[in-house]
Amino acid sequence: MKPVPRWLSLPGRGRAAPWLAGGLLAAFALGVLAPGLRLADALDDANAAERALADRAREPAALQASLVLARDRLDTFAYVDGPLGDVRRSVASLDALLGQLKDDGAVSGVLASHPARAIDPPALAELGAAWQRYRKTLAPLLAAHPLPYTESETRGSELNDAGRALHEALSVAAGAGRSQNEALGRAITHLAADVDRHSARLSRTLRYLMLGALAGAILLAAGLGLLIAARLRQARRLADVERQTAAILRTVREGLFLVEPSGRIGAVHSESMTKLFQRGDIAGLMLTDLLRPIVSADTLGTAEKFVEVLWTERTRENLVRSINPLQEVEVSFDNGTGGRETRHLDFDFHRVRDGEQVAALLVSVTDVSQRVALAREIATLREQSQAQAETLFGVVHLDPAQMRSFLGESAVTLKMINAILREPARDSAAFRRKVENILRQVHTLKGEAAALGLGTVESRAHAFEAELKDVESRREIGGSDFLPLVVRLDELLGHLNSLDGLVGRVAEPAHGDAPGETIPSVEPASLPPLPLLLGNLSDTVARRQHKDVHLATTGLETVPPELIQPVKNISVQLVRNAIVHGIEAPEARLACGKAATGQVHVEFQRDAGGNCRLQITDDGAGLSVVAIRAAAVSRGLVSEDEAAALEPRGIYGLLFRPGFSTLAEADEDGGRGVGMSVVAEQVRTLRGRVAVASSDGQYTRFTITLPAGQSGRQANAA
Amino acid sequence: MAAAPLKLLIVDDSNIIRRRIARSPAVDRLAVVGAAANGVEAIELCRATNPDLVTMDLTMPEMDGVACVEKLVAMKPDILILVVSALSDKATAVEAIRRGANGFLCKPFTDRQLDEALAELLAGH
Repeated sequence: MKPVPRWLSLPGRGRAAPWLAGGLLAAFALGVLAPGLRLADALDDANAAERALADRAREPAALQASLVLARDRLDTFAYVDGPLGDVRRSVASLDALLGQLKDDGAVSGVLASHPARAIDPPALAELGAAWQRYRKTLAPLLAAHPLPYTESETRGSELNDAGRALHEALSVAAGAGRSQNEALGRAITHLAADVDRHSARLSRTLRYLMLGALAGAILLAAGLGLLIAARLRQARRLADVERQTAAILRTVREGLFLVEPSGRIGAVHSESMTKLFQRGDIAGLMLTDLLRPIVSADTLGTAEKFVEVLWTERTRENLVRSINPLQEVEVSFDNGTGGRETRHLDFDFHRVRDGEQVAALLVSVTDVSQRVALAREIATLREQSQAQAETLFGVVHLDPAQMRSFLGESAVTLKMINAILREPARDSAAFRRKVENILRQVHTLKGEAAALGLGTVESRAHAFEAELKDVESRREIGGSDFLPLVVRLDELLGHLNSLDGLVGRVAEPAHGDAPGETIPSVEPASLPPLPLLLGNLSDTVARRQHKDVHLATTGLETVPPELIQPVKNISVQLVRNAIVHGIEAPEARLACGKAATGQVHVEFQRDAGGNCRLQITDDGAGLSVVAIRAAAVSRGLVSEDEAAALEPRGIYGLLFRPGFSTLAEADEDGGRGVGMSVVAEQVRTLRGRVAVASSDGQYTRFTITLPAGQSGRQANAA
Repeated sequence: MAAAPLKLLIVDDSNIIRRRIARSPAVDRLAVVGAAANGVEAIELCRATNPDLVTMDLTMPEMDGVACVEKLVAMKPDILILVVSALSDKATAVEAIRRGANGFLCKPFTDRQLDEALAELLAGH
């Protein structure tokens, strides 16, 4: 037997069986009872007829006796009215019988329906004739007669004329009776035997009918018994199924429930649902209402669309699984004390089909909070080990001096940030300046980390930067907003220290440096060669931006030591900007007839008088006046009217304002609106100037001129 | 499907992804008939090359993937569309499936994942 042939419906087979049994029973009752009753009736009639015939069989003898008695009484002058009355009654009775036989050959009701087939008509006719002859002799006796005696004193009692006539008639009748009576009696007995045979036939038929009925009843009872047994078995099986289902639903750890096409949760669900969703009213609830209080509005919207997709037959199971938005979904519950408790639930959807149609959705829900937590822990550990590996790699493959210089510089930067954080501030504007200041420092650090391929440092700096941007975006900034910043700073500092430890372990013995010094002091000589640093940066950023870039440098080895730091800071920002904003994607370049690989050129020149010029050129899309204006307005740096009034020169100036960016979303490579303000500040510190030249679709060139003799200032400032 | 290989159209605004799919061994059995960088191009190429299969990015300039899926399905109801998109785009992916796309492949993907996704797309139809 198949488990459940159709969706949730009881087996249809056997549903007609009770009707069939009832019909059979009724047909059986009618088939047995109707002829049975008819037979019983007929038998009753036959019995009555038999009785009547038996009574009349004695009638001729009785008649004869009455005749003889009447004559004897007459002889002794006794009273004759009694015997004569008997004679009349007997004649009337036989008249009636014979009349009936003659008229229609039937006796009472039985013979009416069963004509006396056994009596042959000639015999009946003979009987009739014999009776008629006999009856003629009886006729004179039937009329009333005067007193048959005469009383006289002389002669005593003697028969008078009437008496003699009566005597004569009696003698004639008795004589006829003697000759006819036997035939009459025989005929009647014969008739009686006939009826008796008929009645015996009826009894036999009734007996057969009863036997048949008994057999039928036994068969019917057996059939009913089988049917009831089958029903009981089915009921037991259903009860078993129900008990097992209940046991499963009670015990299973997953939340299990069905969703009906109406979107409602079915009446039956596993008990763990109550615990998973912290509510008891799940049966009959809309799935949407179950989710709404615990997931975000976005997730809910996607989930609703997803469930809609599930109801369409054509989507396949694997596809369903791959786009399920409720996989490891974060949910939050009221914990009863005003807070929210966050967990992760995994919803798995299976379509329950009825033929081709999707009849319901089976949903299983698992609490995967531990798994997710574990996965995160593993990810953190992996990142840590990756950080170590990266560092080791860096230490082995990069110039150790480069690493040391980076770490030293970073230490200085972090010290500066710490100092900025400690600076007293009273109003929101002062706090804001502090934030902007820190932002620039962190941004620079991030750029350098990226250039060295130190992803773990870069991602931490990026997180720190995001936090800073978040604070900066607030309308009012207060001291308490700085608390999370301190945490980030600590994190970054801790990470840099651990890197330093690694570098110390791996690199120092090889170079024979003095151990124990945690962060080496900054020495210009230990700075990495600029071309290498910028090359690294270019490769990293280009890869992330999916662009093909070739970086060329000229004259960077002639940068005087005191200018290495600012030249590096400026070129890191501008090279990054050139790749992110200037160079187009390879296909776009091909589309407008350029080589797929973009060119970025960094050139440093120093004239005899000590004036320096740094030029960063890219052959990208050029600066878009329109885009810069729009971005500056949307970021609230200038009003729309102010922007419209600006000339191209003024527009380019907007680039250097803190907070400017044309990117809507910030990532590791840009969008925070910090980079150009770093350039501007460096140039300002060195009393230099920045010139911007650009042609739409052709190139962008930043030219930074630094007057002689300013390097000392820079060195002091650092 | 005996003689002629099925025709594949690649739609993605990233050159790298387009090349990635076109050069993957997963599409060896297919004939790559075109690569479009946005929805508008995809519609034109579909009209010109009448592909059987399409790999579809969702976030593109000009016309996004969801709108493009809808147009392609309207043009050619038996077309098989594999949405290739980042996991963070799940909401959009669901929307694309709702409009008639047939499969989903999460970026980044391996050759094997691409192969399986295409095989499943073809197996289901």
